[in-house]
Amino acid sequence: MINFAQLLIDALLMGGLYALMSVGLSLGFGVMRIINFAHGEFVMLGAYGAFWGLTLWHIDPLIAMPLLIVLGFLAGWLLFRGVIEWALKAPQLNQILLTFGIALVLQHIAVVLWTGDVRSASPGYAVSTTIIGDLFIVHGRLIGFLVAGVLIAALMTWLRYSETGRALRAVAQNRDAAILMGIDPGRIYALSFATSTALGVASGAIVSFLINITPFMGFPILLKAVAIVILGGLGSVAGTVIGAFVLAIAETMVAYYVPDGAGWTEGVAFALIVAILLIRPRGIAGQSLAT
Amino acid sequence: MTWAVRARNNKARETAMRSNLPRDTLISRRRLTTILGRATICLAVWLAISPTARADGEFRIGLPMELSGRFVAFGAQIKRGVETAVETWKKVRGDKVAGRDIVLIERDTQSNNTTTVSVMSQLINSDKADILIGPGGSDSGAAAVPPWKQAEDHPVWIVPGVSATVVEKQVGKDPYFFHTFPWTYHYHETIVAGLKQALGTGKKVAIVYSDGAYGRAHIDYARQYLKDGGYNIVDEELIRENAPDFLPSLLKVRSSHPDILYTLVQTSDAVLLAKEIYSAKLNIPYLIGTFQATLPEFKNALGEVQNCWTGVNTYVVGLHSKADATEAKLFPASDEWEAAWRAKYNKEPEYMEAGSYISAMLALLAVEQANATDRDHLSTALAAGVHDTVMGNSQFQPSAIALHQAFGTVVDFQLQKQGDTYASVIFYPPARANGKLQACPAQ
Repeated sequence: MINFAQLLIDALLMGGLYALMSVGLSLGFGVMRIINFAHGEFVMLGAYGAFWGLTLWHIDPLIAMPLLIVLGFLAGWLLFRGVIEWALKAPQLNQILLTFGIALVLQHIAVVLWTGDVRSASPGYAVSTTIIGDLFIVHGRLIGFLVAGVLIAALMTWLRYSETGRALRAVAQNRDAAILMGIDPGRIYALSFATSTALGVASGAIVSFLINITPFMGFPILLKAVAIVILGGLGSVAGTVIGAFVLAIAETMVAYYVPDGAGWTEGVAFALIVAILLIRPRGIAGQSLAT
Repeated sequence: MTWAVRARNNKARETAMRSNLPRDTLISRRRLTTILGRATICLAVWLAISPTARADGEFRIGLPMELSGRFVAFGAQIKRGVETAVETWKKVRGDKVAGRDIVLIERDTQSNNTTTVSVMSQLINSDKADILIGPGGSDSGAAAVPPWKQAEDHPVWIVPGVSATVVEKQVGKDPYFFHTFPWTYHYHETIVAGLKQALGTGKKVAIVYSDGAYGRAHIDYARQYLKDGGYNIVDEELIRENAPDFLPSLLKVRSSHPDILYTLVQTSDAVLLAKEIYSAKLNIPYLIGTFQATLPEFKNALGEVQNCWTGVNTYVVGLHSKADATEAKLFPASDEWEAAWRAKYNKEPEYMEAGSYISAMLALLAVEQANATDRDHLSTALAAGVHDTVMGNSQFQPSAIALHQAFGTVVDFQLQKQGDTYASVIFYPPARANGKLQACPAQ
């Protein structure tokens, strides 16, 4: 029972992190209908930004995060205006290849700049723990969970109550109708892509002290994020959050209760994708692709 | 124009008319022959003047190594080690070896098995390397075996990394294969011997191993040596390579209350595993790893968490080995060699840098000794060469399977906090020990 409670705590804390890693991808897809295969690389760049901030200038990753978010937003905006915008009307395969190419370029730039060595930011709270009876809560994960919660809540509030957020949702729901209402879809696309990359960079700042940082960390993160987005429903932020927790809990329980289950955790994500595509292709709370 | 050519041209014209194609879209056989002939001449000229073309008076060292991708740290070490050896040789002996120019051909395997196969083929068939040094990782090493085995007259191959015995089983008996790094069983033989000496027998051991080539290559030998050594394996946990979370497996380890945690994972997993073991406050007295604890990336990523981790390797800084009696400038005492390395690279030398330096130097000495670069003379001279190096005596001897194995003797060490730094304290074998194994402090 103690172990079950411990597993649940770990899974929930991990779920928050998964949610933050995936919500940017979901936002970008919901508005533009482009799956950004370079999303994991933005997480990677955020992680390196936080790591070097701590290593070179002793800036805590949480302090560095707002600056990294701004830089991520600007980078996303420029990338959209400079590259992605040109492929908006291209076939979907071209868009996939384009973002995949961007991912490879960013990955190799990171190798050239920082080598392939494994790194990890080590602020004091990353490995410190609070013990409650036989249970323990790792502070790094708890902080990651709380920051993810704040950022996702801020995003959802912005989408729901701000003028720009409503415009963004309008474009996601019906682009043509949004244009008739006087909304500039090009600006909204740039905004959603930039926000998506900013969220990726923010989650990078958090994972910098939770998992290993390498130039190649992006692709496994992308795979997990894609699984979560499909699970939660393409384009649905709320569905993505639910999907993240479902995946984290499923992975943790399989790892513990199934013999040699830790070896099957990646399979859990894909088994869930297959199941959701067969039973409910729209995901937990998503819109159908036709809309 | 002969009648035969006229007939061919007429036939081509008729064919073009029948298919309503313009005549100039067809190429006559003569024109095609001319084009192919010119292309062949161009290719031959290019091959002749290409920098990778085989030339007499050269000793060509092919380096298949991981210069990008997951195992880039291994490739970077091989590159630095070999390049430093060649620089040292040129300073001491001049620019040539046995009258030949020394040519390094560096190829990136990208830490990718498919690329490793093509890189090996290229080095053997196109670059005509006289000797191969690399790669470093077990995965790449296993991938490099088929193209080397399949090549007729394959060159001498020195491997300064790769512990997986699958490679030893496949090529160990080949007289042109030389291994300058321990095999998996050397690790576990020495780790268990060190534990027995420090702790006695009868302790409870939990093993955590990864599902990749590394973990799978080690687990059987780890089990065998631990059981033969009188240890009680109370738990075995398989973990996924590159997983973001190991806590569920660690909770199971906690339930088994082991005295020793024995981990068989690659560096990237070792870093996260060490952090989570610390966070989960497992309070296991002895934490055993394999080679990672020597790596700066392991230490840098972990900070205080590295304390009391135990490892095993062929080389750690501070072995205080003596200089070679006959080639003291090429194989100086380890203190001198380490000081020179620090001065050049502004960092401590790493184990595969030492291994690659020695491998390249042994190859150069073999060429000098044999005054030849063909594989038979080279392998005979390599097998006969004996030197004292920073990793100990370089004599190639048979191992369990392989004909040519050097540096099977490894040392057990523990990272212990000394002031503000963490020193690698060697506790086994006794002849090289400079301290004792200590239990990890309770958290």
